[in-house]
Amino acid sequence: MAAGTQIAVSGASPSPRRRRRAGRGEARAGVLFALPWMIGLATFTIIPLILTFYIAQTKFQIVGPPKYIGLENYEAMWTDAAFWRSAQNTLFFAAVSVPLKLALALGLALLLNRATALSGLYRTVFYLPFLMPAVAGSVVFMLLLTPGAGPVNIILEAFGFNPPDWLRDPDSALWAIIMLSIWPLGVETLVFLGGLQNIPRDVSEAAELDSPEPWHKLWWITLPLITPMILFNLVIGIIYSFQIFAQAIVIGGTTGTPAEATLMYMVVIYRAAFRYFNVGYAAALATVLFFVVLLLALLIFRTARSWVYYEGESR
Amino acid sequence: MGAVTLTGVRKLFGTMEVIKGIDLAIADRELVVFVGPSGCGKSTLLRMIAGLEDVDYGAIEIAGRDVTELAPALRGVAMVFQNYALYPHMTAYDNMAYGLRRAGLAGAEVDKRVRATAAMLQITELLPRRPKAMSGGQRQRVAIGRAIVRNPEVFMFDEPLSNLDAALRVEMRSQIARLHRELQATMIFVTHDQVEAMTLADRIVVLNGGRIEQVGTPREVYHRPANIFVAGFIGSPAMNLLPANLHRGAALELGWGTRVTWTAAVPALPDNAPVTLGVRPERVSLCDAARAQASGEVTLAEHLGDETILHLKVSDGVSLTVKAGGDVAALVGDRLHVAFDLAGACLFGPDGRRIAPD
Amino acid sequence: MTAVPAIERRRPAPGKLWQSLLYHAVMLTFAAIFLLPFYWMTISALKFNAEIFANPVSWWPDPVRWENLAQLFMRDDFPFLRQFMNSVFYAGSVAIAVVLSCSLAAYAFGCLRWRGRNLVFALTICALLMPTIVTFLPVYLAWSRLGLVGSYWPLIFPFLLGDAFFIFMLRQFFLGVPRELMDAARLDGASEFRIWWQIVLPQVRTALVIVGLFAIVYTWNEFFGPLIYLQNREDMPLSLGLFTFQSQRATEWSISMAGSFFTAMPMVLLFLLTQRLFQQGLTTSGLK
Repeated sequence: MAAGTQIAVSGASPSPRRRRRAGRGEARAGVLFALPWMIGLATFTIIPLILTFYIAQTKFQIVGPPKYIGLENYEAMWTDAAFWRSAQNTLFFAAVSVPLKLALALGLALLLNRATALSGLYRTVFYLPFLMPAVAGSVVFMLLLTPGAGPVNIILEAFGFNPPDWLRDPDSALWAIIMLSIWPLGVETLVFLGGLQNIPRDVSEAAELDSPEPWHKLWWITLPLITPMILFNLVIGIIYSFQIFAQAIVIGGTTGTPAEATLMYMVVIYRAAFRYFNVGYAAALATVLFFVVLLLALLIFRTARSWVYYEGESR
Repeated sequence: MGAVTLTGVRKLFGTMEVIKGIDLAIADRELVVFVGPSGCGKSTLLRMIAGLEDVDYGAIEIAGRDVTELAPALRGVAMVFQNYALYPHMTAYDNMAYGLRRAGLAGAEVDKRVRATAAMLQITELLPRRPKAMSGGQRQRVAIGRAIVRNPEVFMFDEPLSNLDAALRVEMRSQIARLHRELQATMIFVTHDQVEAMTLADRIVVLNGGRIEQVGTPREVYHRPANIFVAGFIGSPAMNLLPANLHRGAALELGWGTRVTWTAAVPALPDNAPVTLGVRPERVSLCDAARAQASGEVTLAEHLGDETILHLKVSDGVSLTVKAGGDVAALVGDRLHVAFDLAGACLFGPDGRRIAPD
Repeated sequence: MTAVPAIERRRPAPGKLWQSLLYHAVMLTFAAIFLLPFYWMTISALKFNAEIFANPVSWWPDPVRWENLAQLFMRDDFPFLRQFMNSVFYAGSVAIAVVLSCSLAAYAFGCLRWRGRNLVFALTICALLMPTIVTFLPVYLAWSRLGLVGSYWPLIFPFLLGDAFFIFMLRQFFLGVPRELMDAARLDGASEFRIWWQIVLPQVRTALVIVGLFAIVYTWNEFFGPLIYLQNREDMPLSLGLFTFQSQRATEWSISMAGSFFTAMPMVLLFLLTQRLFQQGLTTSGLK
């Protein structure tokens, strides 16, 4: 009590800042609760990431110690045709499949965004492919795309098209994988649908009062309001498409048959590390992937400011 | 017993100071209301007293005990929250019993106290229900019950009535006033609603920008506001604050040229000092042109039944609010003349503080 | 004399009806396209191998070979039942581990204020966006030094410490728990651990189930990890077992299809039973 009075009297010189006490239980609990995850984050993400950068500069064949060789792995990459081919395939795959998938998912979500007797059924149907394990889905697609025996070409021919022998023709094999990866678009569709259904009813009605054209509402109201979901799906989609593996290895094996047309970047890393036991080289490939993804993510998030609308933001 | 003393209390969020040095003594059994515009720090201050926010500088005493570094549950306080904060997965009974059980009370004692409190609040039939199955008013009463059952030294209310509809709010207000009389406990009540503050408080603490603007009884705060902020904040419709110049010899020259005589004592000021005259709308009356101290065109007439609120544009940038009788039939565009009753008026100096009446 | 005209209820314009029919025609066509692989998988599983590649294409198995399904459970080169149980064990363990570990971390991120929280959460988002392979090799080497390659340890243990995606997802739900609730519990004298366990967790029970379901589906379909860490046929989960069988017995399509069918069906059934929860999980994680 005496000390308290003194402070009040002296006034001008404030008492020393207290150690935070009342909230300390909460602060301590926060660190404690997050501790297992912080350990996990360090052990399985941060430290391995740094080690990958290091291993990438060594000649390391699992047996025996790693030998430091500087940038030789990167130099080897420069002249490795498989690296260039797989990088090209993977970039093409990502550049085609992600926009296609998002556009289709968005279209489907717009179609699904109305209440009919069958809405529940449609939602279920479009979600089911996501539940098919990638391996099983790929095996089924191999049958579907077999000329003469699979229904896809039969149907296309019935409509007067002249479809290729998808999996044997180097020009079309990658398209088969693109189809295969677009098929499970239920997740993206439902995320978009969630966004559409989150648009407040009064905003939607105001837009209808402002203009009779449905296109105006779609372009000026609906799309801007779901840009956060578009960003979310875009980022996740690009990052995952760079890592496509199961579909590629089921259809093209480790060599990317036919003629390396389905050779994906992850497959090249896989075979470098676990077939040729050249871990150093695989780490260098992984490092390049890391920086490409980092760069792209930064690019997307940087531009996102100009096209993504966030609630509570005033512009 | 339940006195609360704050000494030099300050709080920073990052580098932003949200509570800027509060000294306040709340007497035992007093009902004090913290009032102020949103963002003034009233809730933060309450939460600091409860121990839910850290105190960066200064000290808090409750019942003669320094509790600044004590856990919330050990401070002898209980709180009723804005959204009631009832545990949704527990019945009203368990909600009320939870704190007692945490304090290690025996089952029989817990049961006795919960039932006694429920009987007192007439919520016995709610005890087996979960919050979801209750109306807003019922939840509110259970939340109050949860606070009472712990028999705290100090009750805290964080805008507890803001989610209720108007009729229920009046009812709960009188119930809280009755509780205060019956429980004989110290209560701190936070609100942004000045009607709540005026009707409930023994003393009102007006906060603004993390500082105390004034502490006083409802009458003091209303009739003798410490400064222009309090004058404008307390009272609805708000007090008219008119620019004026004070001449030596007690003549007050109003912004639009009218001179009135100021009879109350004022401290020495330089001649022609810019001051602000504060006149409550009910102290402005309509009159004929001959006695007019101000004239203006009606820009808005609000007919409320028993009274009429008129807004007059007196000159550029100066408008007046007049509270007239319900029978006044003035319309927008009418030109009206008014006179001031300066007996109840306040004068604020150039720094915004009240200089008269002192 | 003056007949009051009967007021008839307006009927929807005929255009509306056509519009609705067109809509359903489009949707049903899309639905058929999306279901085609499922259909083809199912009928192929019931065909003779020869019939699968018959020309003209057969749209219905003739005869229906139920024996294919029975065969699946009797083959040495595809120990289906064993692998099925492995998958159940793998997915179940990961789901339990994820729910336990992530509900701790997500609570710390979503409900508690502590120094460094924003930094650690930002790192978590980075980890979420990081390609798996970038951190995979050193971790593999470490497990191999520990002699645990060939066991499920490398596949399950990391989840006991948490997973970036599921922490992110759960945090969205924890953010919805009002802070007042925790404050009330603090005033009631509950310890921080008790607040988590007794006050907050009951509010997010649905979310925990949702995260568990997603963890099951994710693990059931996981391929890369098992491919690297497991070599024995007997130890493999289904999706790896199917791959191994398919790549060694490429001609036995009907067995492959039966295997695919039974690999996919448990997840389809799980989804059909818990559809509402799945959708809730997706819409919540998709919001910023």
